[in-house]
Amino acid sequence: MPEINPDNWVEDHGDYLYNYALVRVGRPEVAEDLVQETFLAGIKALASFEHKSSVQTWLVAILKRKIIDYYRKKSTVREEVHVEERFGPYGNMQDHWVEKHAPAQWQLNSDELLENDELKKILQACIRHLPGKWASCFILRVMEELKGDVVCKELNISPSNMWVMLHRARLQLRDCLEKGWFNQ
Amino acid sequence: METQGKMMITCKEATFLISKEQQDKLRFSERLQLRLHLLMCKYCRRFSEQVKFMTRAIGRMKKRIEQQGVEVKLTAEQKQRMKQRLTDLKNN
Repeated sequence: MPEINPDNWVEDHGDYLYNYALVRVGRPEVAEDLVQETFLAGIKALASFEHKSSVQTWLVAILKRKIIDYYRKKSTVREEVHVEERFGPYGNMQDHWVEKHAPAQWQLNSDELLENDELKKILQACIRHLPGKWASCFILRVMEELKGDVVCKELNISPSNMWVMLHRARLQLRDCLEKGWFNQ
Repeated sequence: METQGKMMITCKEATFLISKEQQDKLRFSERLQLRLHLLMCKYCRRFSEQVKFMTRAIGRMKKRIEQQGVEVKLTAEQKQRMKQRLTDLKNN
């Protein structure tokens, strides 16, 4: 079996892992830390590497775990979350859209819009601006496609809690995209 | 949000079901409630259309992310920092 030499890891896998982390966490300094931690964890776990996959695949698996941990921690940071009241508080219109917060008409008539890079950038920025708890929940469930029960376990929340957070995240993303793109 | 047994649901409940539908199959009764609500509510119809659009856009974004190779390279300084810490670990 070939000898594995961690001395070359930074040169051989650094860029790849860094890109992998960067598109998933969005912040260069965080991505760098995660890659660094991945290398350190890899060296410590070297004995358990079974040569069933390439070293890079194995390192990516470690990095994935680090990314989940990052979002798990992020979700526990206490912060003031302002929940926009979009629905009427009382009377006939209780729990129905308040006119000024109701969805405006979007021009969605072309599929080209889905390929628009500017729109993707705005959407990505909107996701990053979600409150930590909602962002963690949304990113792990929707972007990283972890299963619902896994997300609940990682974030220590109940399924109904998860549904509410995903929903709040979508309400806010919709508002954000409307302000940032459709209502320019 | 529990909507069982109701024929008419509110926009708050309808939008919740629309969100949920992006990840999970709705129960038959929920689908019925939502359909009925959407027939009558312009804003929730918009919301539904827009949320579906966002789901598709995110799908495209994910595909892009998966296909992306190395676009940004570590700087020499970053690499140096990493190597240093790995050496430190080895020597301890």
